[in-house]
Amino acid sequence: MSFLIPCPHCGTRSVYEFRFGGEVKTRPQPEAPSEEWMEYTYTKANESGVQKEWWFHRSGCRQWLQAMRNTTTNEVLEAFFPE
Amino acid sequence: MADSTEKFSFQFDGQTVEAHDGDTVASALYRAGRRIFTRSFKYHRPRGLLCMAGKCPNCMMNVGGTPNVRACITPARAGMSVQHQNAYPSLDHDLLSVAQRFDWLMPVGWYYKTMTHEWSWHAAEPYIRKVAGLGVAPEPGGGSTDYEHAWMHAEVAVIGGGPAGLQAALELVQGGAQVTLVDDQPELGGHLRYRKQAGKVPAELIAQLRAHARAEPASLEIISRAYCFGLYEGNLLGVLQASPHAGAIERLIHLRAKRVVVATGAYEVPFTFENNDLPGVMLSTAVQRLIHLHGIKPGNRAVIVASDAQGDEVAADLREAGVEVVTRLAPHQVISGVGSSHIKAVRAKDGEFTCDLLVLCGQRVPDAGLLNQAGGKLSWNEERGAFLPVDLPANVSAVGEVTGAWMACATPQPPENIPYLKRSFVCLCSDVSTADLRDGISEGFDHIETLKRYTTLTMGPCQGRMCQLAGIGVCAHETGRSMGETGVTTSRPPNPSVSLGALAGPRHHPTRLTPMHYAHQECGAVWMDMGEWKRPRYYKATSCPDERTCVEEEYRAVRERVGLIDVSTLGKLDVKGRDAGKLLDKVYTNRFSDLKPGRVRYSVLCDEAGIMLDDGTI
Repeated sequence: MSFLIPCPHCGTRSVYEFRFGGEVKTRPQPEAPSEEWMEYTYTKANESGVQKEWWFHRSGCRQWLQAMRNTTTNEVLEAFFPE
Repeated sequence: MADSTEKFSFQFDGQTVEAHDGDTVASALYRAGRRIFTRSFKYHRPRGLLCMAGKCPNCMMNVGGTPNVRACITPARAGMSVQHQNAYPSLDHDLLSVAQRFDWLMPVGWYYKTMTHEWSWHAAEPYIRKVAGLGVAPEPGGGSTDYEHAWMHAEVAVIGGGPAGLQAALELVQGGAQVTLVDDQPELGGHLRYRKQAGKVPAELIAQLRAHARAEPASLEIISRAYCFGLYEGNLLGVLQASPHAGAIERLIHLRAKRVVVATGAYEVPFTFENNDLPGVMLSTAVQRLIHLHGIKPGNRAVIVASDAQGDEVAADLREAGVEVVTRLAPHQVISGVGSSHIKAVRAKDGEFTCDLLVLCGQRVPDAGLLNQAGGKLSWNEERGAFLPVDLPANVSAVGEVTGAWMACATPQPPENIPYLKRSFVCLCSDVSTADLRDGISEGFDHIETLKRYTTLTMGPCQGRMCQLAGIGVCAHETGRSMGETGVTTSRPPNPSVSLGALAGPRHHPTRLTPMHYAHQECGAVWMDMGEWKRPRYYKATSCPDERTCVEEEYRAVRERVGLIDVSTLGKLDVKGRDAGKLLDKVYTNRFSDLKPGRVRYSVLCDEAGIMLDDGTI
């Protein structure tokens, strides 16, 4: 694993500088039914193709960012700060 | 050619060996008369120089304490110490060579057939490790530490400094690209440095490149004596440079390139016939390297095995060097090599020829491992007699002989007739013969990938460079498939092998001491490493003889009286603000918002899914 991530603050860097934070999902409201929380907590889409992910630039700007990554080729199409 | 005016010496097995400037360890030893360089993995058969290019396993030695170093590409240095490996007591008289008399006891898949009980491997392993194998790893803390790492970036990386690589590099820099040229030789020019009949070293081209590198150092960097062992995701190239400067024996370069141009050329592989592994059986390009790069007369009487123009070329080189060329044979005429510790004659269909050198003009194989690793496919080409790289990814291209250009099929593939003999070696790394492969196939391992795993073909230090084509030939012949249908096994990095020291890099671990460090020491602390920190593992006192009693004493003290712990080595977080307590309630498993000032509570920290991340006190 040695692909590159274009950090919106630092520029293109090696993946070794980052920590993976999982798929980007919407957190349910605290009072949401437990099925919804169950789905959010334990079920992963595990997309074969492009998916939106959280990445933390641990050895760089130390900011959380989101990236569109093709999980079969490890090509990162774009990376940006969450809105 | 090696300059014969500058001479120095080094030690080989306690003997002084004279070397000329420009010599490798192997060329100096060959000049000094050494012909046996290694003993084979399983049978301890004598093996001599075969490729002189770092592609085969036949010259691996212990250099300065580092095992399995390829002597043929390792520059000789004054005062260095070189030792043989896997032979007892010496290379020339190896008592363990008795193993080859018992080859009938070691059929293909021997381990799987004999180690049928759990205990059998544990019982046999210590003995097998002693008599078979490669070099011996240095003791922990021993071995060289003079390794270093470097990180580099290039717009275009050109791998290979032969005519094709040089031309590509020049055109790229002239087009304004920033280029890094990686070449594994001490000088640029590739095969033209030793194949004098094939053309002249493009001195003008090299001069132009060197001038460019001087004028605009930012646009061109030339890294010599460095081989590229892997092409990883995102065009990350693993490059290992030998002797970058006097203070380092190897430098590992992490080279990241936007584009990669592979110009690694092709290498020669031997033919299979009985006793094809005897010292004195040498590839034609190895002979040319000895003559033209090192000024060595490789033998006195040579027999050439060739099917193409390379035979004429090497014959001219041999005659020029004063070697008598006895005859020239076609590959299918050769029956066996004669001799026990060195080749004495060649038995052919039309007679026996006395010689001390058997020159094989073998099939040329594109050195396409990097292209395969990049995602390119290897597709069989009947006319070229080679698997050629196709379907390359967007940012990787190939130029020169690695593409198969100018290549011709030396012998029909798969061969029409294969002699299945226990002494006709396909894999030199682990002594796999044509007979072993046939037996493996007949036992049901008839797919090239299963055959590889069962027989260990292509799995040795040469990573299949010497044996892959012949192995596929045997598999295709036995199964009645074509070469293309049989296919190749996957190339994986590192290829060629990389020393663990180089991967580990320089040894400079920072050490952190807590403010109480010396107080611990006075109490008899025995240290353990906790990341960068030194932390007491236990305290050794006169009252306790061993670790267990010391720990028990400490345990009782904590339970019955009082204990003191130094937590300086643990991470600390400062949480401030009005809702600090609320935040801690969310991330810890128990309540913290009601914790009174001055009190301490222990808890566990979990993530959203309830997975424990850490524990600690608040």
